[in-house]
Parts: sequence; C-alpha cells; structure tokens
Amino acid sequence: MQRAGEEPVAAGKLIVVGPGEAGKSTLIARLSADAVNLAVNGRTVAMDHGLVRHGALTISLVGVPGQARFAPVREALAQRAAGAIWVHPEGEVPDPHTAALLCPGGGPPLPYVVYVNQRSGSGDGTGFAPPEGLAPPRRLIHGSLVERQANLAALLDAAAELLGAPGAPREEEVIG
Amino acid sequence: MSQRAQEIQGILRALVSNTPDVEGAAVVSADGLVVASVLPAGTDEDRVSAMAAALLSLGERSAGELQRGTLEQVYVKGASGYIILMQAGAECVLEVIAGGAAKLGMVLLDSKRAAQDLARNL
Repeated sequence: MQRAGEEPVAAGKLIVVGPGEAGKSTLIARLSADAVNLAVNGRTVAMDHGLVRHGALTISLVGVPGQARFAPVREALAQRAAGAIWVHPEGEVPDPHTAALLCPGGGPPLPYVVYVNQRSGSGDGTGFAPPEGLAPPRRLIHGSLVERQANLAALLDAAAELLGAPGAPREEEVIG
Repeated sequence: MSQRAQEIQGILRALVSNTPDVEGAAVVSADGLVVASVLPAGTDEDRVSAMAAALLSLGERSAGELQRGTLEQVYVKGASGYIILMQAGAECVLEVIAGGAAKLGMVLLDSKRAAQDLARNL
C-alpha cells in the first residue's frame, strides 16, 4: 500500500529454487526479517515468502519446496515470476528438476542468477555449469549462508537486475 | 500389512463406499507422504499427497494471519467436484475427493467422522 508522500515502489516476483536442503529457506530468512516459512519437521512443504526492499524496488521472494514430490507445488509457485534465484550447494551437480522449473510451460526460460552456497566453509571455488540446454546465469555469486561471508548485497544487486531495475548491470559477472 | 494399516485402509474404504459421490480418499502425513489411500485409478498419489500437505499448510497459515482460529477444513471446488482436507490426528491429513453432484453436508459429516476414527488409529 502506498501512503501519501511516498514515492511509488516497483515490485516484482522472483522464485528461489534449488534442490532440497540447498539453503533456500535460510537465504530468504537472511534477506527478509518478516519471512514466512511453511514447513513441517524443518522441511518446506508449501512455500517461503519474504519481501525485500532494495532501493526503490520491493522484491517478492517466493521459495519453492525442494523435495521431488512437490513438483506440482513448484510449478504453481513459478507462475508469473520475473526471474529466479537458484541456490546451488557447492560441489553438487546442478539439479535437472530445478533447471526444468526455469522453463515454465516449455516457454522461454526465466532469467536467473545462481547463488553458490558454500555450506562447509571450505569451498574450493567450484562454480556452476548450467545443465545442457539452459543458458548461463546472469550472475554467479558465491557465499556462505552459515557464515558471515554471505555476500547478500551482491545477491540483491543481481536480483534487482533480474527485475530490470534502472541502472542495474546486465553483463554476466562473477562475484566471489 | 499391519493391523493398524488395515484399520486405516478400512476407514477410507468405508468412507468411499458408504458416502454417495465420494470418489476417493487418502491419509497424508503433514509433510506430504502418503499413509494410505483409496484413490481413483491413474491418480498419482505421491503428487496428490504433496499438494494436500501444501494446501493444509497454506490454510493453517492463512487462518492464523486472518485471525480465523485453528484450521478445521480446506475446501476446494472445481467445475467437476470438490476436494476437502481436514486434520486427522496431530500429524496427518484426511483428503477426500467428491463429484460435483455430491451432497456437501453429507460428505463433510462422513469425512469428519472418518477423520475422528483415523485420529484414534494414527
């Protein structure tokens, strides 16, 4: 809701995707103080949601459940997303189910950035090779959600870029 | 199959066979795993179970956010019928699907009784 005197705020929806236990819910909770996680026994069963203010932009982050059986829920949540943040556990093979989600309805792929989650804190800098047929990510960002080096400012810049924020860089960029 | 599993399956069979226009029923854990089901042939029970858990979770949260109290049912109406979800014990959900011509009051009444029976067995 816009109050009198406030500047209009652009808003957009990004889905947060990745395999189970990649760190999607943790990422959203780190980015949004009011994040909601619908989980049972610590595993997301419906969705996460968080709103993040970044400059003049309000980013609506929608996290999808990572476990395979929630595929129909993922597909529903991906509708009308402007882009995606792919949370990728460092050292793992990129998940093909996540890749498929980036092409909703067989249409053009969503623009996406990859957040390589260095969970062990001993990452070897291994990057991310997109599965065959999927274009490279707009940006590849390394960080650790369990440590201080989360690199969330860079991720927010990349998210804003996905939503077409004015002045956001478009070129591929690796921030480590 | 254990005696308890047989009893759970029996409750579902009774619900489907005794209530007109109820076409299927399933018991699903809160994290979306199927416990028992009597669903129409061709139904992917894993997908259905996951969606039921997600719907219930969203329903609980929505009821809380909108100060509607503890969730009792989630009700979905499509052009061809109904999906009803209700808690069955602390950790499970009863999912019932019914045709479009179903008498909803009868379906809800029988489903509630089945959920109570299931809660005693789960």
